[in-house]
Amino acid sequence: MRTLLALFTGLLVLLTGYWAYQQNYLTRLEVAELEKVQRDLHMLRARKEVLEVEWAYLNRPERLRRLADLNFERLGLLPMSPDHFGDIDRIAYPPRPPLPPSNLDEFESDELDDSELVLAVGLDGEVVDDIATIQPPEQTPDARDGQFP
Amino acid sequence: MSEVETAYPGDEPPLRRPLRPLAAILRARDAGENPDVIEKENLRLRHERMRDDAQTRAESRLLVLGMFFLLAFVTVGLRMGLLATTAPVEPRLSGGSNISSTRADIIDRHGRVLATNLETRALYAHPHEMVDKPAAAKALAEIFPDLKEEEVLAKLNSGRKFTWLRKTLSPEQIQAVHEIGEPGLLFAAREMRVYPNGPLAAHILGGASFGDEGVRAAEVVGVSGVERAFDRHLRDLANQSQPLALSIDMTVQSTMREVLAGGMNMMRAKGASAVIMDVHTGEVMAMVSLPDFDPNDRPPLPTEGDQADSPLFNRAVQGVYELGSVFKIFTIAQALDLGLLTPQTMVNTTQPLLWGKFKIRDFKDYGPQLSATDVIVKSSNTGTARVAQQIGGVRQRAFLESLGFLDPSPIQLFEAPSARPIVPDTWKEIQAMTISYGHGLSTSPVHLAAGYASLLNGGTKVDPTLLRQTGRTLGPRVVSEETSRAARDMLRQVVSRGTASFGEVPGYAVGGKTGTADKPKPRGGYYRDRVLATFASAFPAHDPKYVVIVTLDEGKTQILGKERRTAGWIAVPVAAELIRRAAPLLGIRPEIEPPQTAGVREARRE
Repeated sequence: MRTLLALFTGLLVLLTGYWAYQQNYLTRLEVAELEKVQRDLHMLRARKEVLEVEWAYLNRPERLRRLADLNFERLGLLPMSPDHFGDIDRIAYPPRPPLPPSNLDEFESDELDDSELVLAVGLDGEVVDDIATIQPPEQTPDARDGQFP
Repeated sequence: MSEVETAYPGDEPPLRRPLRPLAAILRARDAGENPDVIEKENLRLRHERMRDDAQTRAESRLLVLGMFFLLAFVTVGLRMGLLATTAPVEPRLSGGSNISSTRADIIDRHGRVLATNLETRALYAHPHEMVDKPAAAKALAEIFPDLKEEEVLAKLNSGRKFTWLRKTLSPEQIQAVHEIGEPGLLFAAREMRVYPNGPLAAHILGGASFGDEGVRAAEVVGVSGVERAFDRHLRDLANQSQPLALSIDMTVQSTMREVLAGGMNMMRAKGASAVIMDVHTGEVMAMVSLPDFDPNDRPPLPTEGDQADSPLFNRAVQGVYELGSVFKIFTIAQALDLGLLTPQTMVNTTQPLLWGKFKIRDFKDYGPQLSATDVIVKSSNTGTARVAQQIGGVRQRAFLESLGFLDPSPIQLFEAPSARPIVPDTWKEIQAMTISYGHGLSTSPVHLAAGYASLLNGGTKVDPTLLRQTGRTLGPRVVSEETSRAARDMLRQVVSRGTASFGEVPGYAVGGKTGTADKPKPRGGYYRDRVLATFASAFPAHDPKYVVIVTLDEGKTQILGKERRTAGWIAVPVAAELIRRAAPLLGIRPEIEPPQTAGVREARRE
C-alpha cells in the first residue's frame, strides 16, 4: 500500500512537472507571438502615418490647383465661382411617357411596347417579369386597387 | 578523590546518581572521614555533566542558525550577482500600448490634416568608437549639404564622448549614413512635426521644435500659434487619439492666401492680412497674413529691424494698427442705439472742425450737412467727430469695451494675449472725436472682425475662436436688433453707392466700410505717403453670414493716370475678389437681394 502511494505520488509529481514546463513553453511562445504582432502593429502604424502624411501632402490645395491647371484641356476644372450654382427651376422635367391608347382591347398582350410596360409596372409598383400575364387595366378591376390576380 | 570517581567503574552513569552512595559513605565512616565530602564531590560532578550537556546543545543550535543565515546570505548574494551581471530588459508584455505618436494631430473643420507627426531619426556620434574620423566627416558632408566637413571633424575631435550631428534625417539619408559603415555613428529615435500644407496656415499653426532631446526620444514642443497655445492639450496622452479640430476651412484658407497674394502683388503692398469670420459663432474660417513662412522650416526670429516686417509676424492678430474710417460705423451705431440719431438725421459736416489746436478735415468737402447714412457712405470725419461729441468719451469707451476693442483678443493663439490694443491714457473729448473715425486707438484686424460680427449679427457679442464650434451660444447684447439692421443698411449703401463701389459682388450683397489710415511714424507724427488700407465687410448684407476683413500695408496702384492709395482702390477690389471666390466655397448661394423696403427679414436665426 505504502509503495503504491509513493509510486502514485511520484507519478503525479512527474506529470505536474511536465504540465508546468509545457505551460511555461506555451506561454513563452505566446509572448513571442504577441511581441511579433505588436512589432508588426507598430510598423504598420508607422507606415500608415507616413501614408497619411503623404496623402495630405499630395492633396495640398496648392498642388491640386497646379494639377488642375496642367490638365485643364482634359478636365476643364476652374476655381468655384458664384455662377457655378444652378437653380432647380432651370432643370427641365423629364418628358412624360405617351398616354396609353384608349382602345387597349385591340392590343395583344405581347405587343405591349415600352410605354405600356411603364403603365403596367406603375400599377402596382413592382416589375412583372411575365408581361404576357398582364391584362389591360379595363378588364381587371382588381388592378386598380394595386393588386394583380 | 579517585576512588570516589571510580565508585562504579566501567558503568554507564545512571540517569541520576545518588549523591550519597551508601557503600562509599559507610566506607568513609569506617575510615573516619567526613561523608559530606563525598556528597559535595558527587554534586560537583553532576553539575559538570549538566553544563557539558547544555553546551553541546547550544553549540548545535548555533550551528543550525549559522547554516540558515549562511544560506540566506548566499541566496541574496547570488541573486544580487545575477541582477548585476545580466543586461536590463524591459518587461516583455507592456499592456498593449496604442500610442503611435506623442503629439495629437491638428485638423481643419472638415477633418483634413493640418499638422501631424512623422517618425524619423536623429544622428549622433560616439567619437571614441569611431574608426576613421576624417573619412566619416567627409562622407557626412557629402550626404548633408548643410554640414561642413571641418565643423564635423572639429566636433568629432573635441574629445567629448557624445555629440549630436543632425536633428532629422530622411530614410534615404539614414541608408546613406549606414553605408558609411562607421560604428561610432548612431541613430536616435525621433518623431517630428510635419505640416503637409506648407505655409498655408503658417501663422495659425505656428510651429514646433524639439524640447528635451534624448537618444530614445525627444520632446516636441510648440513654439508659437495654436501649437503653443494648446501645447499642454496636444501633449496630453489622453488626447492623442483625438485630433484638435480648428475652425479653419482649408479650401477657403488656400483660396484666400492665393487671392491675397495676388492682390498684394498687384497693389505693390509690403504686407497684407485677411480674416473671414462666422458672424454668429465667431469661428475664424480663414486667416492669412502675408508675407508668411513654412512652419516645417521655421525661420529664426529676426534679431534686428522691425519685428513687424518679419514673416513670422502675424499681422491679423499681432499687428495692432489705427484702422481708420472702418470705426465710423461703431460711432454711428452707438448714436443710433442711444437714440441720438436716426439714419435720416442731418449731421453738421462743415469744414474744418476746430477743437482747440486740432483741426479735423474730410477727404473733400461734402457741404454743410449730410444725413447720418451719408456720413458713413461718404466717410465724413467731421460728421462722425460731431456725433462722437454728442456721445461723449465715457459712453464711447464703455461701448468699445463691450465690443472687446480694449482687451487682448481671446483668440486661441500664443501671440494673442501679448497683442494688447493701444488705448489712449486719457479718454477726453478730443480722443473720443479721433477714435470715432479710427485714429488714436490701435487694434488688430481680428478685433475688428469680432467687432463687426457683433454689430451686424443682430447685436450680440461674438468672441473670435479658432476651434470648431458645435452650435451657437448667444453672447450678451451690445446693440439692439434695430440698430444692427440700420448698420447693415448703411454698410450696404457704402458699397452700392459710396466709397467701396468696387466691392460689389453680384449675388452676395456685400456691405462694408473702407478705412485708409496714415501710418504713424515710430517717433510720433504720421507718414504722408504710407497708409494702411482696410476694408471691413459682411455678406450678404441683409442676412450676414460672414465678416471679411482685408488689410493691405502700404499699397499703391496707378489707375487713370493717378497714384491711388485709398482703401477704395486698394483693399476693396481684393476683398471683392476674395468674396467672389470664397463665398461659393463656404456654401453660400448667390441670391437676389431683397429690396431695401422689405425690411422684414431678420438676420438672427435662433
